[in-house]
Amino acid sequence: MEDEAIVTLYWQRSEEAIARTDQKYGRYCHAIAYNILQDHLDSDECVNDTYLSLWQIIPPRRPSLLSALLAKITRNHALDRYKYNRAEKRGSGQVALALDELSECIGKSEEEYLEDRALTELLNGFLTSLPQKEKEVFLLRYWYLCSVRQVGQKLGLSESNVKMTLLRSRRQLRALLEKEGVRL
Amino acid sequence: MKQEERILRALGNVKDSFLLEVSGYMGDPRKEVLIQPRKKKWPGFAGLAAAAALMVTGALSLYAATGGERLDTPLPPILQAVAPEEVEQKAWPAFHLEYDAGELAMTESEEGVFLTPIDYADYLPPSDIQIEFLPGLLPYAAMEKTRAEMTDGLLNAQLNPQTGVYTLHISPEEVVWDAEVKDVWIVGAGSCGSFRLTARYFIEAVEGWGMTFSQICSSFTCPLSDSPSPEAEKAIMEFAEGYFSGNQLLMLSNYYGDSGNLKDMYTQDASRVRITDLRGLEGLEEQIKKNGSGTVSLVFLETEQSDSYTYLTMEVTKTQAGYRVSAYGLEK
Repeated sequence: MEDEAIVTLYWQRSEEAIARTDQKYGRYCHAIAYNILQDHLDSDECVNDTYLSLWQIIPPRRPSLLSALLAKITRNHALDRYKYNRAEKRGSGQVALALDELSECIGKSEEEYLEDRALTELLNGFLTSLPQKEKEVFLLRYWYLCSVRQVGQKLGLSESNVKMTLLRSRRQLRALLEKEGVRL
Repeated sequence: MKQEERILRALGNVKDSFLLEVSGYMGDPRKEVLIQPRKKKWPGFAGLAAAAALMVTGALSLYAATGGERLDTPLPPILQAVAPEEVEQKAWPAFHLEYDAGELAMTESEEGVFLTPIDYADYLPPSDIQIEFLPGLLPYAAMEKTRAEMTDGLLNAQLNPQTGVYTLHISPEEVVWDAEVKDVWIVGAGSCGSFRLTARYFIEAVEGWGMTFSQICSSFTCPLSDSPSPEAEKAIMEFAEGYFSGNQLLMLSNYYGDSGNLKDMYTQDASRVRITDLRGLEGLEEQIKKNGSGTVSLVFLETEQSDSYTYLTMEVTKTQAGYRVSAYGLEK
């Protein structure tokens, strides 16, 4: 089924939308979540959270690229869960967890929002400037959070080649951020 | 929020187009669970056969050049250079894939070459890989043909912009254990046409034969060994594929010049295009040495019924990154 038809199902509030999304993108979303969480059960829950989020935001949104939207939501949920899991381990429970939960209430200041947007714009420019292969290596490692070995296997490169490419890209990014005076 | 987390989150919001470029590489990481019992070890005879197969492969420098990569799976495929005599008689271009000769048998019939499991329970729905050659079809046209033929089930098609390989996944409407699943790979064979690999299995075998077939089909390459200049032909045909299918990214990765000049695309129905010849490839290297660039023409019929040829003429140059098209135009 085409993405447009799936989005239309969401607009019609048909529960079939979720089944169709899962059939078409379930494996893709699971792969994204699994790279971050390394746990199939957690990843499945994360993918379910993604479908719920999608259900809540369509309508009013009508995404032009459903796969990209799904990928972004899954990644954010997986990072949240990763953070939560880590906090749980760190404090054998409650202090770190409580702090994490409370941090949600504080939210971001307007200045932080603007800084984050500027940072994303810089990253867009940075990725545009990278040669195709280096861009793919960078995105697979830092967007999809694949291991160096996986990146090598997917792109047909040796691990040392991947590591060198990443090192070069990180140096370039660092120079760019310093030049633009981005405060991190 | 920690600094490293901020940058990780900010990266999560980059343009969608970047994600599209690499999304084709992402698969399902679930571990392979075989439905059939696995052999614990290779018996001696099979071990010898495997060694012989590897030696044969080593001797065939033609295929060794393609450099197949060993995959780390519970069913490690044996490197096999494949060009059965029967296939050569059909004038198929040579191809290369990796499979475990102890687990799968290669046979040939009117419908193509088949890889079928050797020890396979009769009560299970069929699982196999069918390899077909579609002469004169660009990968895009082969993909559209496949899409038109697959009328049952839910179809999802994707293009890997790095390799130019299309993958189609056809899942059943109804999810029951024995419902048929098909994964199709479409791999360009230069100006000759395209190969189509259809992996057929059933829902309960998704993580068994499904994964194994996926690894085998992913290892499939067409080295264009009959071409006078395989590298140039590969770049030219990828550029042409981008031109016909409207994929600027594919054009851009095989183009040398101002990307703003890549606006001209094929405006007719590319799924009906039939390639008949690629002219000028033989003297290309010499032309490039002499003039810095050379001209090739892709000859095609706009539809099977067309009574005149159309030419996509391309100026080709050689850069440090390889052969690149520097100018192009359509001529009738």
